[in-house]
Order: sequence, then structure tokens, then C-alpha cells
Amino acid sequence: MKKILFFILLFYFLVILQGSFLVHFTVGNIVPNLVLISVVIFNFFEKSRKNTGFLVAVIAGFYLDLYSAFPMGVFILSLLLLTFLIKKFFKFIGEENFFYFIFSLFFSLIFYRLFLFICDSFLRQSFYFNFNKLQLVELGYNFILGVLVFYFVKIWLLRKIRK
Amino acid sequence: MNLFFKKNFLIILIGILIISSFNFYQKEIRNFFYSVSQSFQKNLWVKGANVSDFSKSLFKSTVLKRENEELKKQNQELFNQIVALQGLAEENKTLREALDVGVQKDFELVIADLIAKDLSGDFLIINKGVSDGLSVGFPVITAQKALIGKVSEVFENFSQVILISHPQISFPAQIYEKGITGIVKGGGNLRMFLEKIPRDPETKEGDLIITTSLGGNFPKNLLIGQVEKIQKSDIEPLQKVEISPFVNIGELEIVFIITNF
Repeated sequence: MKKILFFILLFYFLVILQGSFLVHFTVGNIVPNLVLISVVIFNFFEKSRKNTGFLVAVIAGFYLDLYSAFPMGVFILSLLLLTFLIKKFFKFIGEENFFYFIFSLFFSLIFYRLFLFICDSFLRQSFYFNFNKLQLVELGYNFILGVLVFYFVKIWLLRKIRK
Repeated sequence: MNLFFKKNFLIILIGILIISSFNFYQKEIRNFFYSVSQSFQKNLWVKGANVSDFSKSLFKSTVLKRENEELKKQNQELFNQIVALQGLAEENKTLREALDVGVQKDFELVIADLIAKDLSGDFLIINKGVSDGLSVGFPVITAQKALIGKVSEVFENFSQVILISHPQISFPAQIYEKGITGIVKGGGNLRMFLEKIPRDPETKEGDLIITTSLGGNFPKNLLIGQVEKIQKSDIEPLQKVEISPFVNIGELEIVFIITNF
């Protein structure tokens, strides 16, 4: 119960931070996606047989849904699918190291963007994929931020273990 | 094995039903969350703007020096105006009144605070809703009469504003003093284009783009942006330009909703 409450508060804070504070720290009009990065990192550090990642995906997705123009459920579904795929990937690989994290982060950023594009096209009933440099900026910005957050979390976890 | 799948299937089914049911009450749920977070979000928005200004100023010291020189010159020119304004009690109050008079002369307006940027794209959330007389389609502008977007969804005390840079948006506009009419189309991530414009008369970088009364979506003569880049093609009879918007969303705190025009 404590764990659930912690994630409810943590992701509430992260979503509001992303929608209000980080809006001022854009690169090429791209706001960093701290919530997505946090979900990927959590699923990386959690053992693949545990299921807390799904709970985290639902909580984070719910908040993202609240602050989006999509119908409720789109972000929950996208993060649940992503969590499922990450867990399957690490179960299949059987080990967790930095390079696999890099791969899963890269995959997650592309999957997330594609999923939203499909939902958007489906809702508007017009399919177009305008791949431009902004998508690359988004990918690069979030990727760099993801690696930085990964290291911070790793250092924090190592210190916690040593104590 | 069968039981395991049945159990999982049941959990997924219940999950989908619960999530789908949110959509029936989404206005109430969203309104509740926005109300709870409003002051927190507003504070973070202002803090973000301040921190961002500070960090930008650290990195742009040379640019600042140049700007400082220009501002000194401007300062001289503005001196007379400052003297004229000295009689007024508070500077903020004066500016606000001046802005109100300027814009309110032309339209019926509702002032709203910007509380968050929507996380899925070119949307904003403002703290005025149905209870303040807003409804879907109302144009949203700044104090300088620059068009930002229009109200796309209204809740009890809040509204979502779709920005004119959203790919879903397209409306007629014209290049100021040239009489060239084209279609503004959103390109996503605060990018916009003016499409289907003829080659003559020639369009130049820096040309002003304003709204027209065509289409009836927006009042005429609202600022949209400036021509940033011209995309010419030898084959096409019409050309397309990229628009640099007048409004920097990050610097906005207050917007005006036109309720009657």
C-alpha cells in the first residue's frame, strides 16, 4: 500500500513538473518526457518476473491521460504495452546491463511516438506520418536525458545498497 | 494453464472496462484534478519561466551586451513616455489597464491564466471554463492581439486550448499589406506554414501574417507570425512559407479568450 501511495505521489509530481516547469526547458520546442523515461528506468531496474511495473504504467498513464487531449486510456494502454514488451525483452535476454538499457530506452521512445501517431490518426481518421527533424530532436533530447537519469538512479541505488 | 489465462483475461477485461468508464466522467475527473493542482501548477509554471530566463541569461552574455546597447538607445526614446506615465500609481496596474483598453475596445474578452501545457502536443490548459461563459471554438489571443489558438474542450472551471500550430488546424490568413491570401496549416510542435500562396507579388522573409475574416473562425487582423523561410518550387505555381510565431508559449502567463466578435 505504501508503495502504491509513493508511486501515486511521485508520478503526480512528475506529470505536473513536465507540464508546467519543463515546458520552459525545451530544445526545438520539445518538452522532455520525464514520465516515459521514469517508466522505462523503473522497468529496467525491476526484476522481469515482478509486476509492479504494470502498476507504475497504469498510474503514470492515468496522469498523462488527464493532461492530454486524447480520450482517457490511450496513455495507460501505451505504457502498459511498453512495460509488457520491456519485461518480455529482459526475460528473453536474461541479463540487465547498460547496453540493453540503451536499446530498451531507444525502442521505448520510438514505440511511444508511433503508438501516439497511430492513436491520433485513428481518432482523426486521417493517416499521415510527418517524419521530420523534430522527431529526431525529440528522440535525441529524451535519449540523453534518459541516460543521465539512469546514472543518477544507479548511483542512488548503489549508495542505498552500500548502506 | 487455462485457469491462469482465464484469470489474466478477466483482469485485463475489468481493467479495460474501468478505463473506458473514465471517459463517461472524463470532464468531471479532469476538472477535479486541474482544480486540485491549479496553484501548484501555476507556481511551477512561473518558477520554470524564472529559472529558464536566468539560465538563458548566463549562456547569452554577449547577446545581452548587444541588447543592452540597443536598450540604452531605446531608453532615451522612451524617456518622454515614462515621464508621461509617472502620474499613475502602479506600473503593473497601468500596463494592465492599457492592455485591457487596447484589446477590449475591439472584442468581448475573458482573461485566463495559463496553467499547463498539454503533454500530448500543441495544447494548453487555462483556468476558465463553462462557468466563465467559455465554449468550444472561442479564439484565444495575447494582450498584443496575437492569435494563439481556440478553445477545443471546456470543463466546468478549465478549458483546453488547441494551438494554431496543431496539425489539425487550418484556416485562411493573409500577408499584411500585400493582400496575398493563403491557408495557415499547423505543423506540430509549435511550427506553422502558410500554404497555397501565389508567387506574385513576391513574399519576403519578415512579412507579417494576419488573420482574415474568411472562414469566420477568427476575427480579422489578429497577428499570427512572420515569414521565416520561403519554400519555392520551380514546378509548382503556388508556394509555401514557414511561419515564425509571434508568441513564445514559455513566456506566456495570461491569455484572452474572445467571447464575441
